[in-house]
Amino acid sequence: MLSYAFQRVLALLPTVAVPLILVFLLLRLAPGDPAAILLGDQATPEQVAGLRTELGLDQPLIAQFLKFLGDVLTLHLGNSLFLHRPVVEVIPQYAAVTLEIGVLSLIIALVLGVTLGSSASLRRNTRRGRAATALGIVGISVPQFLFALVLILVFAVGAHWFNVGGYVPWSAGAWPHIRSIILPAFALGLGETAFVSRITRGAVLDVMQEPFVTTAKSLGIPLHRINRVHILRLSSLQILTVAGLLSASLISGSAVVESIFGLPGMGRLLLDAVQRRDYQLVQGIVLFTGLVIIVVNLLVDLLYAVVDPRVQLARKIK
Amino acid sequence: MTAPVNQRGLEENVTGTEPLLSVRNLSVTAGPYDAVRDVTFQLPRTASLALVGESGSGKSLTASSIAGLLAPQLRASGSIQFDAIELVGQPWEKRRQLAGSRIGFIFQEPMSSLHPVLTVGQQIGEGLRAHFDYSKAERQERIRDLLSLVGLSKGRQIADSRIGELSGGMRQRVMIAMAISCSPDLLIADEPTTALDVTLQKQVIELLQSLREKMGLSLLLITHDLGVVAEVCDSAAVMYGGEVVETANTAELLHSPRHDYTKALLAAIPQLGDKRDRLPTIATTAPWLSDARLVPRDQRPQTTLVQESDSHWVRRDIGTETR
Repeated sequence: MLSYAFQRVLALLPTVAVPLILVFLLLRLAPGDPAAILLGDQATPEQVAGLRTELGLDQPLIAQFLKFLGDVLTLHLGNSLFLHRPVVEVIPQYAAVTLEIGVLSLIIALVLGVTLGSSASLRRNTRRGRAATALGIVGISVPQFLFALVLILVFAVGAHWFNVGGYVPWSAGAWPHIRSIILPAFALGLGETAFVSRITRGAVLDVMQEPFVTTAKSLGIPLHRINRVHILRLSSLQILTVAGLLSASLISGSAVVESIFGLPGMGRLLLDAVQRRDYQLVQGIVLFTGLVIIVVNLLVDLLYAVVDPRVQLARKIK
Repeated sequence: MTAPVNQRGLEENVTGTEPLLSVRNLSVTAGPYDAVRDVTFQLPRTASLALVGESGSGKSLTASSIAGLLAPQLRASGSIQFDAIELVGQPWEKRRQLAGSRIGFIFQEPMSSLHPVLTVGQQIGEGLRAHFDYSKAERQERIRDLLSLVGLSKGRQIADSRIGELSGGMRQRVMIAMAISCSPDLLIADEPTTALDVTLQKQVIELLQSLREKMGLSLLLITHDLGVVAEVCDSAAVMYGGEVVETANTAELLHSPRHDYTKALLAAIPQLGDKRDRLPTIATTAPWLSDARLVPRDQRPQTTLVQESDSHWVRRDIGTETR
């Protein structure tokens, strides 16, 4: 298992290079002089020339890239032009909110989605199974912002269980904090629930056809146990893949939800940064998001091997 | 001339105690079509019976009906009595009590019939857990015993491995260990040797033989291999197009077949030192199922099983004389 994990980490290195190169080129390939863009309209030519030297823009591209790599490794990503604070300080503060909502909504999507999906397939000829299937189709068709608005309308405006919007930090108490992120997490997670449920349904239906299910039946194993031990265990491989992909879309999807609920998360930070042409910050966010997605994929790869030990074996034989 | 006898006669023909398994007028239907028709046979306790026939003859469906493993779109009718318990029409929860614990099933393809991710030990353990209240240690011990009973000596190592890590012969042994794990009375083996090469076939057949003796099992063997039938089974029922066309004790069936299909089947077996250029072939496969030309029941020739000697029954057209 350890050697497998080590192999997976090694295999990630080229993947990490992709966001690095993209981020590096982002600034350099933007139309016009990056230094002039960074400094804005009111900058004097002397200031621009000064920044050019400071950023090393007068150096050859390769030298610039190596310097950039060095900066990244030592966490020198520059200052946010608008917030006037180091990018490496700004990002974690906003990322915490997004990751918190992201993880919570992923848990919601997986728990609800797997429950609905397996019910839709295992009981596909019953009323409950059909209801689960129908619910899944509705969920997948409704856009996130609509979920968000309906949730606000029903649970915040109607029932007063939650605040309509706004973020309460941990420092203001655990319950107020959790209350402020539950609705956003559901808004983000419900659409994904439908997706997870579709995938689960398909995966379970696939596995149900396998001859080993008949074998399990021939041994007199109770059906609920066959479902859990024999079927869901294998289906979870496909669900895991989807969970990996979802966590990427949750980060990007959070922009909408954060805007609606007025949360200080990464999605909103990115939108603002792009609108303000805060290049240093955009760089930092893109790099950070890329790394998060890579780490999530690493986790998914490692979990694969836990759920299905054949994954490791296949690599050993190769 | 032998008069047609009703199916009731067949049942009464059996001497001694009540048979372990008694199948009467079993039909398996999918909507208006039937894939198995009026199958009747009996398996006495500790005896062995072969269901012989080509692909599509209905032998596997017959076996699945007995084990309660028919696909949901198929329906069995007639009667299957196992130890005087009627199985046809029983809900699964009731049949589950018998599945594994009293009726063991060996499938043809161990690779796909065993779970790819659960270990061998976990899979056998699941079956044990369904019928016994063993502690974990007792279960482990029983699993090792079972594996050694089927000739797998490194029990602990095999219990911890997955099916993909084992050889073909080992896989089929694991399959057999699972089928006998709860000491069933009846073992149904659906083409247990078909997926194996010849040397392994012999080993598996010998294993089944020895288990039968050790455990007092009754064996229902589904096969198309008449050589295996001769070696293992007391009696045999030949199936064709969903019907039993001839049933007799093995020696008699092989040496003096009465039904044309059985004769053709025996003629198609190559002999050592055979000088024939071409082996005889049988023209049609499952006549009412082939060719998308499903012939409705009432348009088929009417036939019935006719008793032609003590244990020998042959399907004849109604109204025809014995040939």
